[in-house]
Amino acid sequence: MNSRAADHSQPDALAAMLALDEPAQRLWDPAELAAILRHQMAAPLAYDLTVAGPGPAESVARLSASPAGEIRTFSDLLHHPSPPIELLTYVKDFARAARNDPASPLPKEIAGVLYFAAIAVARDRHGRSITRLGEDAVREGVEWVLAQAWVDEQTRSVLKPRAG
Amino acid sequence: MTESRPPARQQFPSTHWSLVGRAGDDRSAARNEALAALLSRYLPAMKAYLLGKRRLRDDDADEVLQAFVGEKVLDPAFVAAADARRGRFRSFLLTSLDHFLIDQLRRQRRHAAHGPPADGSQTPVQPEPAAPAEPDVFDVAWARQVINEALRRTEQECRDGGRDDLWSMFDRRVVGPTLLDRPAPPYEQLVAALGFRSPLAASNCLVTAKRMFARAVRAVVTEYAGEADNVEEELADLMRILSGGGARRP
Repeated sequence: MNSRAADHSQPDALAAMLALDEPAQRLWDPAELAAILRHQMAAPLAYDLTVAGPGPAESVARLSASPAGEIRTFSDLLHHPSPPIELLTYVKDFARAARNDPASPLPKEIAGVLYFAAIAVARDRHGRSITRLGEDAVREGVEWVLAQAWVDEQTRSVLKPRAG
Repeated sequence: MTESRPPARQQFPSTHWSLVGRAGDDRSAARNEALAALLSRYLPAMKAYLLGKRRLRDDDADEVLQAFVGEKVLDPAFVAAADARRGRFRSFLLTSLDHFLIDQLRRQRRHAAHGPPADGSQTPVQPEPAAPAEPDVFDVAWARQVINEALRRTEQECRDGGRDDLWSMFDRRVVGPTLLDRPAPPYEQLVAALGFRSPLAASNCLVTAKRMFARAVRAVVTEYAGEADNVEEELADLMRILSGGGARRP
C-alpha cells in the first residue's frame, strides 16, 4: 500500500500526478519501443484482432488454421509463406484504427510498423494491394519503419523488398 | 470493471461545507465529530506550513497548533465564520492561523518586556520571515493529502474489483517512479510479471489505472470544493501552486 506515497514528494512530482490524464502523456518510454514491438510480434492474433480489433472471432480462428502452418501470432502471419489476405487486412485495419485514434493506448509507432508490414506482405506474397494509399505513400511509410533503430531485423526483412 | 465508492466515513473531507457548517453549529450533536474530521484533514497541512514557511521547530509547531485549536478553532463562532460565501475554507484557516501566530509572537514579546503572565505560561514561538520563492507549503501539504487519498481509493477500487493487475501496473509504473524516485521497471519485466498477452492489453491496463486515479482525484476534490466549477478551479489552483506559480487567494 502506497497511500502515503506523496508524503515526501516534491511539488513537481505532485503536479505530474495531477496531470496524469492529460492526452499528451505518453504511456511508454521511446526507449521501450523495441521491447513493445517484440511483444507485439509474439502476441496472439486472436486477442488483438477479436477483442480489440475488427476481425470476427470465428473468421480469425478459421483463417489462422492454415495447412501451411498454424498462425498464432503477428510474427507467424507476417513470416508465413502464404498468409491469408483477409488476416493481413484485419491486421492492417487494426493498426490503422490504432494509428488514427488519438485515444488508442497502442503506441502509434508500433501501429505504424504493423500497418506497413501488413501492406508490404500482402503485396509481396499475393501481389495485391490492401490499401488505398498510393505507391509513394506506401514507400515513404516503409522507409520510415526501416529508419527506426528499434525495429528488429526479422521485422525489417518483411519490409525490405518494398523499400526500393 | 467494478467501481466502488469508499465508505462514507472514509470520505475526504465528506461534503466539506456541510462539515464546516456542522462544526460551527453550537447546537449540533455532531459538532465534535465534524470538528475532529475537519482538524484531521487540515492539521498536517497547517503543521507543514508552520514548519516550512514559518520555520518553527517541530515541538513549537505542535504547541502553536494545540493553542490555535484550543483558543480559536474550538470557539463555535470561529468555524461558523468560515461561511462558504467568504471563499475556500483552507484559505480561511491559513489566514486565521497566521493571525494567531502573529498574536502569539506579540504576546511573547510583551512577556519578554514585562515578565511572564501570572499563570506562568510561555509560548516559545519564533517565526521567521517566509521564503517567497517557494511554493506555499500549506497548499503543497494539502495537495499531498489529496493525492494520498486518491491513491488509497484507487488501490481500494482495484482490489475490490478483483483487478490487482491494474493497481500493480499503476504502482510500479507511475506511483513509484513519480512519487518515490523508484526506477520504472522495464516494459518486458512488467508484462512478464503481470502476464499481459499483448502491448494493447498492457497499455489498456495502464490507461485504465491512470483514469481511475484521475477520477479519484476529482472525487476527493469534489468532496471539499463542491460544485464542478469549483473543482476545476481548485485543480487548476493546485497545479499552479505545485508548478511554482503561487496560490490564488480569495
